[in-house]
Amino acid sequence: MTKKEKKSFNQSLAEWKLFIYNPTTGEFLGRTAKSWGLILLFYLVFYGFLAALFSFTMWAMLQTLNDEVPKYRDQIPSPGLTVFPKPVTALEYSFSVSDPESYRRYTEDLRNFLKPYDLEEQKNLTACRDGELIEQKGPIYRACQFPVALLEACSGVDDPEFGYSKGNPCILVKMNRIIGLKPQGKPRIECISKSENTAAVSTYPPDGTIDLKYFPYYGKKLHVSYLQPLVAVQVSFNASSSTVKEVTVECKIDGSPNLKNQDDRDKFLGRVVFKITARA
Amino acid sequence: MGRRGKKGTVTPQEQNPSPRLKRRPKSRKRRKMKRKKKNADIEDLKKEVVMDDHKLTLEELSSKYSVDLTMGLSPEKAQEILNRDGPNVLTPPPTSPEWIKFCKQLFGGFSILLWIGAILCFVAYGIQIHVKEDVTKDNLYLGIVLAVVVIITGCFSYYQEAKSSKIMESFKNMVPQQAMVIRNGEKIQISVENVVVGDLVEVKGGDRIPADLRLISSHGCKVDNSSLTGESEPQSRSPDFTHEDPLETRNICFFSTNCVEGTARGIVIATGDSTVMGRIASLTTGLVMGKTPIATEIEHFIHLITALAIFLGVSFFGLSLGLGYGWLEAVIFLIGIIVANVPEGLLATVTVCLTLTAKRMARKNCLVKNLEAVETLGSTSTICSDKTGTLTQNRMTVAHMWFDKTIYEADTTEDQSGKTFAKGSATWFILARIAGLCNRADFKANQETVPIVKRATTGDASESALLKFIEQSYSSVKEMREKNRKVAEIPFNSTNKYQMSIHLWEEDSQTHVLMMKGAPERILDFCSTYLLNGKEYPMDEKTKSDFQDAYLELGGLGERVLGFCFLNLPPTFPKGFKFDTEEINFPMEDLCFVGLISMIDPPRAAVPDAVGKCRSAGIKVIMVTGDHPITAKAIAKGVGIISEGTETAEDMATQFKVPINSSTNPRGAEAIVVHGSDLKDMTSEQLDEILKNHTEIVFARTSPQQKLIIVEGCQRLGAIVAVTGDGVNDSPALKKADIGIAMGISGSDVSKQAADMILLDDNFASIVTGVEEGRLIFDNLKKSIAYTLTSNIPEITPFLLFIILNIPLPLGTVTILCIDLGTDMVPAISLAYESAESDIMKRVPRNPKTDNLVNHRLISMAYGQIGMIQALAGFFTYFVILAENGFRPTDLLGIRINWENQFFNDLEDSYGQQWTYEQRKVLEYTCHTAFFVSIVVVQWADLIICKTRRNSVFQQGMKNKILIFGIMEETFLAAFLSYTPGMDMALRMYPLKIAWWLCATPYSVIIFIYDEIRKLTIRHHPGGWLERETYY
Repeated sequence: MTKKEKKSFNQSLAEWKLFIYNPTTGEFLGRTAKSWGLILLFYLVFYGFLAALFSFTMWAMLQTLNDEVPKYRDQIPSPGLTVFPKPVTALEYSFSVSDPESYRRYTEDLRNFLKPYDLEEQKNLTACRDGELIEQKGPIYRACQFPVALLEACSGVDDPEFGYSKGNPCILVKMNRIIGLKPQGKPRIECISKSENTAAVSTYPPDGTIDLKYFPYYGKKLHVSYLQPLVAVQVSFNASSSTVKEVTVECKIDGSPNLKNQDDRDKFLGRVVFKITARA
Repeated sequence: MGRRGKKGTVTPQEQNPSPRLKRRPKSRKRRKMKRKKKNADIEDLKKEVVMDDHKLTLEELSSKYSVDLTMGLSPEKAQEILNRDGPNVLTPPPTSPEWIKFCKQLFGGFSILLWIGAILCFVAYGIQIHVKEDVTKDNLYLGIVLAVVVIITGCFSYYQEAKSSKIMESFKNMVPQQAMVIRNGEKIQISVENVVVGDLVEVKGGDRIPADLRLISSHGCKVDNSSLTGESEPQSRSPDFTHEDPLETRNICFFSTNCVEGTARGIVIATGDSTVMGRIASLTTGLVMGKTPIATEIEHFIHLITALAIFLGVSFFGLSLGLGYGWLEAVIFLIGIIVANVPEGLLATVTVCLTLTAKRMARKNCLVKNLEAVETLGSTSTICSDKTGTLTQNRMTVAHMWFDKTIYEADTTEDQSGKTFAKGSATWFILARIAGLCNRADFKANQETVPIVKRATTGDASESALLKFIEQSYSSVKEMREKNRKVAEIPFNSTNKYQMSIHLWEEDSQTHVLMMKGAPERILDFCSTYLLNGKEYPMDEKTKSDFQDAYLELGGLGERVLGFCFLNLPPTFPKGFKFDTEEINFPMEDLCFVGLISMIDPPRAAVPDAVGKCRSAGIKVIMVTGDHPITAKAIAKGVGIISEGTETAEDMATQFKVPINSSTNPRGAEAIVVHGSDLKDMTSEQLDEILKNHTEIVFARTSPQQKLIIVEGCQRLGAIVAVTGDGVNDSPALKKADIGIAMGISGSDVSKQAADMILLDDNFASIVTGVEEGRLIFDNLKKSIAYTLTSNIPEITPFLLFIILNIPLPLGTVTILCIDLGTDMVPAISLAYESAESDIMKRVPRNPKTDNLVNHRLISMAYGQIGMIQALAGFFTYFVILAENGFRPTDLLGIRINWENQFFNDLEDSYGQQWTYEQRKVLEYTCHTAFFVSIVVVQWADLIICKTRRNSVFQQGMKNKILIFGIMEETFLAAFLSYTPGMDMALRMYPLKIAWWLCATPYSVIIFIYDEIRKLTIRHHPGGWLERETYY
């Protein structure tokens, strides 16, 4: 640090000060008050105009939209498969049988999720005929009942702990809602345990069948109180295995040619893989 | 780019330590002192040459160098001296190694911005990796791409410069020179580099002087000192001490000048770098170079961009912290925003634009050695031009004749298209005979097909001029000489100042004629009669005063005047008479005066026009020459450097009949002719005073050092100075100038080395083209940068709104790169082909302090106005796509956390549909693609509005074919990127529905209309508020 540099620093500081406020010309940041006023006014008007223009085009665009059905549905031709309880960071469920706190989040999540499926809630829904698509023309769209009893041991009716306290946890699997989707064939959700000697998998309704009567979906606005069909997966670990029991379960949609279950990029398109770790 | 700086920092001593310096201990302290000494050396070199060898008598000389003046040195002694002093060569200017040049290209100027960007990207990626394992590699890729862009552009400009250096190399004359020395009384041929101080050297016509020589004897020796002093006229050399100034005295010959004719012997008084030439070369290498104007502009631009990037980055850093993001995330955002401000493609664009212009200039005979110098000529406000060869044709030509008491004008144009004169007069017949016969010049052989003016001749310049003139306007000199055989002659010498020859009148006649030419006053002394319309009249006072008037008039034009006379010898000297020229045995008085012929090195045809153009372009043209003031002034008037009607102080003094320096105020005169000897005594303040107060300046009789002082004076006044020159003497000034222009044909290697640009045709008029191109590229670069910068806003705002509004990211890194390095590239470059909006040669040169390449108005236009409209266009498209697929704008706000969660696979849209992570990512990438396409669409309009800064597009027209190609190219590229199968895998770009291309078009139209209105307002209110705020 030589003297010269210091001096130039002081100079530049003085220059900066003068730039920030110059008392002789009354300039603030290189502009007088009037100049600032004009340029701000210009940009105010300019941006005001742009905002108006943008709002107008947005408004015009929104007018072209249909409230009930989105304009394009080609981005989601085939539904994804998701599980409940809702995973947070990864598709891994880990709990200890002896510690209710460790699985309380899961069971609460399941109870909440199944609330719309209460018998009370379903009173107003239609009991539809099994095995066929229900295409409707409106203006009133019916929603079919999904008796929670179909989930048998995982319905939460008999066992409010959904099997977690017994070491046989339940996971719910569901297909994503897509407006207008009509599955072909007899769609079902097939779940297999990746390690069969440690754990067996049972699905409810039996075979994991998804009834066609829940299709097609007509959208949030028209199809009020629509209930998605669910499939429950219950894992039963072999008694013989060690204190920490682990199993990876893979579920996919099967039996319907137009529902994809194989995509290189999308690991959740028509399939889902999750892992359960149960400690004693 | 790098070369300039390098040259400046290395001083000759450092690079090539002389043996004496080597012996010094290299302690630190010493080194500091050495540096001080070096600066002193440079100052020293700027001073005039000090030398006293020319004042010594031959005896003193002999003892000083301990050499026998007839036998020369002994070979042993010579070897000893050679070992002591080293070889007799100029140390070549230090050339930096190739890899350093390459690194300069890689890390200089603009590149540094991109490097910092790349490093920031890697840092961000490092942080991301450190925090969580599973991260997008965007930052890594961006860093790599930035690095690759810099490297490729660096290689490109390195290659470009290497190419022009190669052309340079080819100029070099690699023939080894030989010298004739006398050692131990024997004449031996040795290589020039082995010549040592004290050597006795013999030179003859055609030789290059091997070292600085003090002559001890000579026979009609003439040397061409033009490469050293700029004087085009060969000068005679003799052993006599004639002038205090070693550069003017007759008895010194200088290293690397040429001996034109005669022979001479001399003692070597200096070799290698210590010669006068060597000192000039050292001075050149020792000079520190300034930055090129464009480098300064780019630096200014980088400052602006960096300030803006950091301001944006830091404010959003604070904002994101306020919005509850974590520290690390905020840092990543900070880096992301700073990097997003880096215009990736601009470096390449600027380089390509400059290269294109350099190529265009090369086609117009301006070879640019340094890419950045392309623009410098455009910013030039002062041109210091050499006279000889640049402004003039560098060949003596007959300009006027005076016979029959009338001054006739000869044709001096290069293509002989001028007017003719009274060829019918009998006086002309005699005059032509004398000029043709009493003339020792001759054409070299085998040149029948070459036009007469271009033929090479032997003999001195004035005789050649006469020869060509007679050949052109009278008849074949060869035939004439065959017919009128020469029987005796007295060659010209500086004491009698005339040349005489005796010829047979006709082949078969018996009588002789005596013809004489020489200095007019000497010739008149010989005459007692004069010729008028072919008849002899006795000389009277009236004729003498007519003669005086004519002589003065022609001399006043800066022309060299020769007088001609003849005498018909009486029949007492019949054919076969032995004429004795030693002891004159024939009459040499009462001759008959015929006329005068005057010669000048005439200005090149295109020069007056070019000077005029420079003047209307606000460029001051200063003539700096080693020639005489009168000649200099005459040429200056001839080419318009001193314009018609303006007068120098001297003119005014003569007009008002008052002595100079007394009553006339020198400031009153616009024009001034400054003599080198006056300049020597001036302080720099006085020089500044002259440069400031006079618009038309001629410096005559200047030394190389003074040329440098003049250039420095102009630079002190804030001018951007171009210097032209061809001689070695010019090279310090060439180097010091903002742009040095060397001559391709007549220029010396040293001057070409020192220059930034080379005029391949040596024509001053080419400089004007260079100025025009330079100004055009400055304007066009502005447009190019405005175009490129505009798209920065639609590139940055998506990220900003992503942070603030928590919406899915509207535009990703890949698509940003596709714009910057893909679609924007060709259109930005195409603007370099844009023609000028108005006559750029009719405005004053830009003020380097206020008229910047990129100013706040350009940024305000690009970022604040057009960029904002573009961003809205992109966002509109983005919202349209999301809304049409189920995500309405209102539902998007705050969706980011869930949207980005890979394990959230049933995200609900506005219609109750559920989306997996991948499905919505595909939608997001489709939005990126659409946003990208929207930018392309609005950039159409941006490109069209950037074509002009003031005019309407309708005035400018769409004649730029490259630009139209650019629009097509960017559109096709966008379509290609969107629709090519596999692009979804490679770049994650997805096909778009045709309707989505149209979303941005209204905004495109708005941009066009807005800018047309803006420009209309600017045109109608010149100097108004809108112009002050938005005219960039």
